[in-house]
Order: sequence, then C-alpha cells, then structure tokens
Amino acid sequence: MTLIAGTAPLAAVPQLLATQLVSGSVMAPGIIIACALTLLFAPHVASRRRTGWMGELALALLMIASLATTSGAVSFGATAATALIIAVEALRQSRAAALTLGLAAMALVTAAIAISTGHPDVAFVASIVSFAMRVGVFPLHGGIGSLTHRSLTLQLQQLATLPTSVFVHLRFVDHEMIAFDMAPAIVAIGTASALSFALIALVQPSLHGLLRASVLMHGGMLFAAVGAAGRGHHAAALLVSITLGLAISGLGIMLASLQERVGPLDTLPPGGRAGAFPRLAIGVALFGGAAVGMPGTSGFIADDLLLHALWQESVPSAVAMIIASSLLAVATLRNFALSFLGKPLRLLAPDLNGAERLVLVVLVLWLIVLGFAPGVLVDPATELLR
Amino acid sequence: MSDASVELVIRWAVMVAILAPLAAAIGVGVLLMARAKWIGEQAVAGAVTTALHISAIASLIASACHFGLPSMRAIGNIEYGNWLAVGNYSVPIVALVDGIALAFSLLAASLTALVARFSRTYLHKEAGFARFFVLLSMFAAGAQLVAFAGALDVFFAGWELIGISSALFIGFFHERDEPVRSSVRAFATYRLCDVGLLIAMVTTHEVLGSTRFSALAAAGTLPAFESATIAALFLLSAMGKSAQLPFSGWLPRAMEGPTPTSALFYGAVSIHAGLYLMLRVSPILDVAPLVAALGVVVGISTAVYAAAVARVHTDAKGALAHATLAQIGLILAEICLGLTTLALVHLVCHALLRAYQYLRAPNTIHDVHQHGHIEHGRMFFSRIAPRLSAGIYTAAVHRLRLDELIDRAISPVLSLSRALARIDARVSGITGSDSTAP
Repeated sequence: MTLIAGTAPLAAVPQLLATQLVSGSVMAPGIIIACALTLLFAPHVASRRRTGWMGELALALLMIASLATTSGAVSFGATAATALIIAVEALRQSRAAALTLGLAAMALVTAAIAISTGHPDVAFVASIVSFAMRVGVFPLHGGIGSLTHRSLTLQLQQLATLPTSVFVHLRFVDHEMIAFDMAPAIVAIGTASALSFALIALVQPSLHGLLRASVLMHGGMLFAAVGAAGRGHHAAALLVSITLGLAISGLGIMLASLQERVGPLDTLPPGGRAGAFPRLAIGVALFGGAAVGMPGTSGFIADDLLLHALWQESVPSAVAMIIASSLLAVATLRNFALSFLGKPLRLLAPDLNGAERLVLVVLVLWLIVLGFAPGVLVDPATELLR
Repeated sequence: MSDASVELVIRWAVMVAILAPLAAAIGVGVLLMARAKWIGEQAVAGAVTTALHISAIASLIASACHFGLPSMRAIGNIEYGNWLAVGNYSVPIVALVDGIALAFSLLAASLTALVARFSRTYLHKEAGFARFFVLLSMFAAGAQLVAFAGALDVFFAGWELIGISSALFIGFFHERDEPVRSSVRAFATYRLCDVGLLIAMVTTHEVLGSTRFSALAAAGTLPAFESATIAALFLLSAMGKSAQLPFSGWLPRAMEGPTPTSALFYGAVSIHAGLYLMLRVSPILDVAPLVAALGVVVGISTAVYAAAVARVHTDAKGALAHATLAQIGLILAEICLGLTTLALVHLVCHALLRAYQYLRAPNTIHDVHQHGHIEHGRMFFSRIAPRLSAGIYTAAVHRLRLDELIDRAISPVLSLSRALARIDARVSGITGSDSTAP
C-alpha cells in the first residue's frame, strides 16, 4: 500500500481510507456483505436464540472471504463451502434439499477448479448449474422448495448467501463469450420458471404455499437476471438478488413469527389476524409488496432494471416476466387477505416483540435505502465489474 | 424575481409537494412499527395533515410560478438527476411542469388535505385511524408523483402507490368479508391492467430511446403498428384505473371503503388518474387513430352503461359511483377525440363536484329520509318501447353481469395454475419434498 505523496503518513490514512471506500473494489462488496450479514443474522435476532451461532459465523466468514479475495478459485471455493454447510445442516430436515445443495456445492467446486486450471467456460457452466439448483429452477426445485416447509431457518440462510454468489459469478466468470452466447437460453429458462411459479402461487391455499411459490418464482427471476448479466446487465442481477434476499427473507421471518404464535401455517383457519397482530400484518404486507416491486423499495427499481435488461434479450421474456410479477402480486394480496383480514379471531398471543420489530425496521430500511438510492450499490458494482 | 429564482422556487415547490406526504408516510409508518405503544390520534393526524398542507401550499406556489405571477411563465421539464444510471440506461427523475400537471396536482393536493381534515372528525376513535392517515399520505405522495412525473418510470411509481393505497382503503373495514373480497378484486384488476403500462413503458424506452413524456412527441416517426401497440397498452392501463368497460365491475365494490376515501379516490382523484395518463400520452393517440377510435367507443359505451345502471341503483354511493363513471366515459371520449383542453376542464370540475357529493352522501340519505323521495312519472322511453325499456332495466340491474364475464375470462388461467400446481406436486413428490398444491 502506498501513501499519498506530500502528506504526513497519519494524516493520509483517513484520505486513503475514504478513497478506497468510495472506490468500487471496496464499496460494492462492502454493501453486499453488509446486506448478506443482515440477512444471515436477522432470523437469529428475531427468534432471540442465544445458542447455535456457529453455523452463521462460519457462513459469514466464508462470505467475507469469497468477496474479499481477488482469486476466482478461492471465491468459488468459499461459495461452495457455504452451500456445503447448508447442505449438511439440511440433511436432518430434507434429504432432497441436502442433495440439491450438495450437488450445487460440487458444481461450485468444479467452477473453482476450472478457474484455477484456466477453463473459464467450464467454470461459467458449473456456476450456472449451481444457480439453477440453488434458486430452484423448474423442474429442479423439489429440494429448495421443500426447505421452506421443513426448515425455514435454513431456507433463509440459503437466501442470505445468494447475493454474494451472484457477485462472485459476475466478477469472475461472467465476462466470457459463453456467457454472451448462453444468455438467451438462460433468460428463457428463468422466465419460464418464474411464470410457472407465479401461476402456481395463484392457487396456493396457505401462507406457506405462497412463500414457497414466491421463493421459487423469484429464483426464476434471479436466474433470468443472471442470464441477462451475460450481456452486460450486471446491475439488474445484483439488485434482484439483494431484493430477493431482503423481501423474501423478511416475509419468511414474519411468517416464522406468525407460526410461533398460531401454529403450523398450512393448517391455519382463514382470516382475522390483523387485529391481533397488526405490526406482523404490516410486516407481511410490506415484504410481500417489496417482493412484487412496490415503489419506494428496491423491488421497484430491481424490477424496472430487470425488465429493460430482459427486453433487450427477448421481448417475450420481458412480457412474460411482467405478467409473472403481476400474478404474484395478486396472489400475495389474496393470501394476505385470506390469512390476516376478515372476521377477527380471538388470539391471546402478543404482537411482534422488540427483537422482531428491530429486524422488521432494519430490513425495511434496507429496502427503502436501496429503493431510493440504488446507485449506492449499483455505481460501485458497475465500476468494479466493468 | 429573476428567472433563475423562479426556476429555483418551482424546483423546490415540486419536490416538496411530492416529498412532504411521502416523508409523513414513511416517518409515521416506521414509528408505528418500531414503537411498542401505538401513537395517539392527534399526533398521527397532526403529522399527516401538516404534511398534506405543506404539499398543497407547495403545489399552489408551483402553480403561481407557472402562471407567471412572480415574473416569467415557468414551463417544461425540471431535472433532478438520475434515479439510477447504468451504462446507456437511466431512470431520470424529471418533473414536467405544465398546465395539465399543475391542475391535477393542485386538485389532488387540495382535496387530499380537505379529506384529511374531514376524516379527523369522521374517523375519530375508529379502529385503524393511524392506518388511514398513513395510507392517505402514501396516496397523496403517489398522486403528486403522477401529476408531476416527466417520465414513465416516475409516473409508474406514483401510479402503483395510488393502486396499493386504493386497494387497502377498499379493505379498510377488514373485519367484514365483503370489503376484503372487493379489495382483492380491485387490486387484481388494477394490477392486470398495469401490465399494459409496464409493457408500454419498456417499449417506449426501447423504441424512442427514453421514457420521458416529451419523447412521445416523436411517436409520429414510429411504424404505425408500434405506435398503435403502445397507444393500445396505455389505453388498457387507463381503462383499468378508470373502471371503463369491461373493467367497471370493481367500482361499485370499491364503495366498501370509508366515505372520505370514496370521495377522494372514486369521486375525485384516483378514478381520474387513468384519464390523466391519457392526457399525458395524447401525442401518441394523434398518430394511432384506430386506438383513439377504440377509446371513443369504450368511453361512450361506458357512459351509456353507467348512466343506465346509476338510474336503477338502490344505494346512494353505488348510484353516485355509476354517475361518476358515466362522466369519466365521456371525458375519455373527449381525450380520444383530441379535445384535451375541454377534457381537462371537464375533469377538474367533475372531480370537485363528485368529491362534494360523496362527502355529503350520508347527509343526503338523511335528507331523503326526512323529506321523502321525489316521485317520477313513467319515462317517455318506457311508454313508447316498454319491452326494450324492460330489457335495458334488467341488464342495468344485473350490471351486464360484468363480474361473471371477467370470471369466465380468467378461468382458463386458473385452470392452468391448478394443472401446474399438480405437476409441481408430482415433481416435488419424486424428489421427496412436501407439496402445497391444492
């Protein structure tokens, strides 16, 4: 590290730090890791668990390592390790999910090896395969879908690791010719998957079903965005991954809180919880809204960017994605109304506690800040990825 | 005042008109979520009403600047930089200040402030008082965004805020099932018609190079098919928001909300937002005569339909809703015929009249109970063509069975959804996970 000429060493430190902080190489990964860590620890904070932090700590260190290093192989290796940790934890809950995540980890290891041996095309394909599994592209969605039911905490952990994975992918393997060539196919697959799950969301009878369909619909959306990034639309992929994490994790945390109070969501009788849990209802509405592009949240700008990116690759894909987003919005309001509105139920459990409210406010503020000033993330990331 | 000072004043006035209610919505909303205890009625209403008054004053100042009170007449785009810029794609934050924008902004700001004051007493001690005021400020921010938006992206943000707050107001009395069902139906109609606006927005950017309304002036250079498609998509979106045929079914259901919001949304501002969109994009209608003709047909059909239904409606708000719709149809026809100045005057006068009528609706019912109905003799038309008259009466009573028609139209989509859910269940079953398919 060289100090700025003509200034005293100590005086130069703040200036140097400031220069480094606003530069893309620190700012972009810094924001992504801050967001990912928020997502990783939010469920823990909300549930007021005092133990079992080791898994999250390990994941946090690996995510930091994957973003801090300038070596593609190390980055992919660290990302593979995050997938593997979640896969091992999933083994007790859902073997399908463990298998899916294990295969995704293997694909990421392959990407790491391919990069270190000078085969970026293979690394790109392996990375895309791992994405297809981790976001649950139709029909590979069985495992990831089951996590929503079997272990919401693991699903949230897995969502928290996605923004870093997207960044690693964009940084190290997305500049190859194969990324450009495969973009239309990846966009088409992602869009078809998103539209399918948006349609499935329309007929879900429970909040759990809605959450599952929503996770998978956004997975398709993210897959399409990663595909479009192959032709230079990096910002859309980054913003979609972060919005997916913030909005869907927020929704998941709120639903986990509801489940703690009223029991399994799949067997809930309809209606009437907004009176007993007004803040929880607001939380579900806000995160549900952000997930479908509510203005003022990063969801709006992410959708806008994604649609323009998709339009340039394939007009039918852009139209299909617009329809998918609208269908999911209708499904979200319908399910919200079914579960929270209607004749009030007599419930004794309290509304959100202090820790849950803190998580709700922090996640909403993230969504609002990135919604109003997306340039905070997009500008340095674009600078770095260029 | 110098030209630069006027520009500075108008720049700030527009910004304050939009941001004051938005800040109130976010501030009060975050406080409500973060605090363990609810905030009192006075504090919530005070904060929101103050913000709405500030917005109305800012809108008034912008209007004064526009009409040249300080010095020159301010008009045109005001740039606030980019919301986002990536490569050659940018989302500009641009306000368009002209007579249309200021008329709509002033109308929306003053009526929202008025309704806020009215509601402070009307909803006193009502459960959901704080929710009402947060939603009202969110709506006010949306209406100002729509009014001043100089680009479609910004317009769409405001448009969505209006849609969301509108749906939540319809379901305001959520303890009853009917308002909740109506709310979902209205939102579904909005959202599905918004597909048109979104596609039009992206298409406009791609074919004209910008989403600015000023770019639409170059629509004449586009191939006829492209300009007609964009115009048709705008029309679809406006039809949903302004409840034109065949999407009129949600409007009478929207009357489930509190009376002040019925006045603001379905009498004054929200229902006219679709027309405002058509006024904004009128240059593209000039080069798409077929779509303009379609708009005239839709507007006049809606006017005839709504006038017939209004005459047979048995409840005051429902009858008012259809009377409103009849005028909305006529204004749409005026816009599509190119009579934009007449349409703007019609829009403003109509909005003011309806806001008054809705707010007074409970008193009107009281007056009718006291003084009795005015008896009408048999209409001329029913004397000369009794069968036709009876047929029209029946159709009007059943509101052309529009809801059933829409339900039938979307049933294939639901069938497809169920089929996909079954496939999903099977696929998930193979891999050993649970399924949520019905």
